[in-house]
Amino acid sequence: MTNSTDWQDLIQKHLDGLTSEEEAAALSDQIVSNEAVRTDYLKAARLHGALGDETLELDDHEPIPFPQVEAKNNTRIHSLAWPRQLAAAIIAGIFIGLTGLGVVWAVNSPRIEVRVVPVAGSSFESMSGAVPIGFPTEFGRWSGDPAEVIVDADGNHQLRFLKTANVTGKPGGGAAACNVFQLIDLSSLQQQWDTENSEDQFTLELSANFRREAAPTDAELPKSRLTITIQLYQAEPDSIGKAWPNITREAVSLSNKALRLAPGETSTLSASCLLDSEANLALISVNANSGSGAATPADLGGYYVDDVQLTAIKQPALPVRYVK
Amino acid sequence: MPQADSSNDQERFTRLLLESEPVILRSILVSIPHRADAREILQETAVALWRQFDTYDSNRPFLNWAMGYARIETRRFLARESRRAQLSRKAIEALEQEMQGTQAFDSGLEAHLATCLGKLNEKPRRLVQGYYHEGHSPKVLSQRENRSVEAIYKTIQRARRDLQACIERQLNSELA
Repeated sequence: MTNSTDWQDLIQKHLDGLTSEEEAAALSDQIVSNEAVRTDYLKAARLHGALGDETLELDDHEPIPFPQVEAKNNTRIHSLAWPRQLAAAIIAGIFIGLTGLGVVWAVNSPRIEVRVVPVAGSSFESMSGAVPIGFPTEFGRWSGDPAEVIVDADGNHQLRFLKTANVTGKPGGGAAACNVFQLIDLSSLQQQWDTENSEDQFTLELSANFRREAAPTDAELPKSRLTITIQLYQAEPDSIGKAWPNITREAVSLSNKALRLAPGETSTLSASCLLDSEANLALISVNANSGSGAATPADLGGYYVDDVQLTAIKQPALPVRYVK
Repeated sequence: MPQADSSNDQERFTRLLLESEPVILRSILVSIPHRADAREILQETAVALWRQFDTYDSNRPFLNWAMGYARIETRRFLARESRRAQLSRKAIEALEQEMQGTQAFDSGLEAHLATCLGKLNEKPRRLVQGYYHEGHSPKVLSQRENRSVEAIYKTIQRARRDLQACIERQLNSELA
């Protein structure tokens, strides 16, 4: 392997995780000793990283339709972008039955299971009007900063973020975001999957559909963004709000994802974290952030969320490991 | 730390992290190209940053501070994981030193990637979108396209090389 074309091929293979140990070692030696290969590698890797940027949209190209699996309880499972191996498995999935926790699919690996963990009011269809203010103290109830459930022209219920606030109500706290929270009891899931004694890996994936409409305050919020967060705790449900936000440091596991939407755009966000056997509850939240870091509340206007889903995944040895 | 300060701290940390996260992830991807692995390192970096946030000097750029932790977590990952063949530590150090030298290309990426994507033919562009933007595996793409997995990999690799060449052409035309 002496010419630059061959090294280019090897660089491309390595970016896709296809090099053998010997090839990776040979490429490493060249990167150390050959400036041209080093530069080529950096450019190719930078491009690879930029293409993976979730904010990148391809111009004038219709998205490729992605098959969706419809559950018996009319809960729609959206594409699981993470991990993508699992998404592939779900596409090929075979529905096998219902459990007390939700729907279970057996996928093309017999040891992968996907369950829908119930989120109360996940599609907000059973709710209307203002969402209770303040931190939730019990399972299965949305509450948080000023938000309301609206009904659109098609009769679809959606959560609308109204105003940023400080959910603790304590003076001096920041008010950059409008957070709406729900506490989810994980004890039944942990028990059914016997996570403490299992060698399998368990993850939770939270997803939600966000939408933004034009609003009078848009000009004041050039850096606004929408976020979903999942945090797992070993705690009593009423203790989380009392210690918020310091208790975040004690989370057994956490993950969040954010995106920016222009008026008129919609997008699905998902965030995954390890389901550790220690965790007995999940705190899920959806929020609209002004992006200003301001300490005073700001009117948000046109930010909506719908179809909040929590999915539990049991898998043997996917190449994913989340932090505790 | 008083409650109000902690709350402000969390807001500030979240804001700083969200601003820096894409740059940190791209940087990790240079050393660890597999996206699932890179995201794992990013998550570990984020937790380490939060745990050490008390020590962050706000007079210094957050990104520089964070990148130090990303490098540490990358080395920890390499020391404990052997899922895939990885570059050697020496190679990764050489790349880290060289990163400053590709700034022109990096800025070209930002400016011209969308344009160059638009110049790809329909099939490679569809595969790039499926592989990167929608996160499908080459196996899924091969079933959808009715082609072999190897053919899918080759098309994606060729598309990346074409994109790289296109970006460099755009940069050169700016300098001419």
